[in-house]
Amino acid sequence: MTQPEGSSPLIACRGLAVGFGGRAILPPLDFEVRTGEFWALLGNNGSGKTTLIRTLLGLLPRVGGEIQRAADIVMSYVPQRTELDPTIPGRVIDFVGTGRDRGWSFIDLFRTNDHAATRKALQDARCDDLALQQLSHLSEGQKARAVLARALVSNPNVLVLDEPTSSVDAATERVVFELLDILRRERQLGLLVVSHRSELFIGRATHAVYVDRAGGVAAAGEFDSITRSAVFISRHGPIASPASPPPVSPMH
Amino acid sequence: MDGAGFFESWELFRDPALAGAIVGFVLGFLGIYVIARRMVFLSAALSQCAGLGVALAFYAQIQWGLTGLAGSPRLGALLVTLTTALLLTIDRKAVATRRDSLLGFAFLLGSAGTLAVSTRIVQETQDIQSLLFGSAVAVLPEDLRFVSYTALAVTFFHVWWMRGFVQTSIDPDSATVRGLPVRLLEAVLLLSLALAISFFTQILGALPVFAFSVLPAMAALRVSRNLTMALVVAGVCGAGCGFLGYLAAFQYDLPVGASQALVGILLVGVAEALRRFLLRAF
Repeated sequence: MTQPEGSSPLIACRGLAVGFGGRAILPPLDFEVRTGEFWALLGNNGSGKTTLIRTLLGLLPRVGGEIQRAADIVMSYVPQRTELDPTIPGRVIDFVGTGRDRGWSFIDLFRTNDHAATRKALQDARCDDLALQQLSHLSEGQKARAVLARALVSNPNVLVLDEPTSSVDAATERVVFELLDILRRERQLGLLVVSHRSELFIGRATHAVYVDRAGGVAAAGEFDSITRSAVFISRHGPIASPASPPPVSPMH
Repeated sequence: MDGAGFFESWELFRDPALAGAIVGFVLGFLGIYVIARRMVFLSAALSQCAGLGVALAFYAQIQWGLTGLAGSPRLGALLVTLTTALLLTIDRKAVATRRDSLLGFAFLLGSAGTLAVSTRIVQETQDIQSLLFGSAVAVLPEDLRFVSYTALAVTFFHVWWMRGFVQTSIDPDSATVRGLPVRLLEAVLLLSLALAISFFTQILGALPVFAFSVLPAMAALRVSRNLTMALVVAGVCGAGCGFLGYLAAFQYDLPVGASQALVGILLVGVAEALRRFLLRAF
């Protein structure tokens, strides 16, 4: 687990309060995300994880506090459910290419380097063999990789994933988390991943945010200190490591 | 008369046949977004709102003596249609069912409002009917020019901004995080749809406009391998519906709008058969 010491934060939250209609649903949070860090966002269903993530991404207005983003930040987001309408045709390579644009780049009719960037993202997400397949013909695990490739194609330095494995089986889930950890190290990503399956982060996550809306709890810090804290253990017990993950290989 | 008779009288039928093909082309590719965003009844709702705008303009002419641009029925139709389209963009997070109910609301407001206002302007009913539902049979040369310029402007903008429109239609949240101007793109997309529907309804009528904005896209989505291809195929299918529908109406003595819609339905059937054949063959 690499953490460059002293690097300036990509995202810095100070007294961040999240919620709806001006009402905070969690206590204020302070934390900083740096290059190469793997942040786990932990909590039960309905605990406020997605609200926190969407606020960090600017998709929801914050209720209080502040979020500072580095000038050179390039964020990508994998939503909990990407609405891939099966009636809309699209090969994986076309779908991944739709993640390439940033800002107003879509008005450039003569954009270049698309193909190389798309191929690189497909390779990194271990789905280059699926490039010419129709999205609607993929398994859930394969779709998860295609969605990940689309998030990678614009070369982000912060990647945010909301329950990226919610519709895949346990074996595939472990493979996806292993892949995320490899990508974090290879691409030096700041990674924020939401999951209610805290055991998947063991040995991978460097930091964690734990939220519990019902209990009025929000805590951020190093992964081990959060998951060994009394408040976490009192609600979830000590987390156990899952069975050792298989090596990452193309999924079918 | 037969098809040969149609082309022998080409001078007579050229303008309405070309207008049908041009409108079919534009609404055909716009229909891909309509289906992708699950807003199939958008054109039906917006054409009713255009009707309300026309009725309100006539009402303003009669009751308040407005003349010129201020009392123009086409401007009235455009303003009410664009306002409705803008209101629909405000609720961008609406789930499909809620968006359906909003479209139903707009449809009912347009149709009931038009009927209510029409009772106060009885003497203009004929003009309102003509402006509301157009006539695919008699298209004047100035109508064809108007359709051509509108089509050119909409097509140019949609080719230029296509990547933005596609990305906001597929996944607006990810597009927002990547810094795309999602609200603007959604507003422009919906406004261009409203503009096209409002103008084309007045030239060709509500039925063919609704048919062109749904059926060619349905056919294209069945046989295309990606969204870009679907946009092109839908445009070509729409143009085919417009032109062949007019030819079929001439040959079989059918109402033009209904004939164009029926050709679209036939096209969807052919596309479905082709899709099944391709799936089996490959």
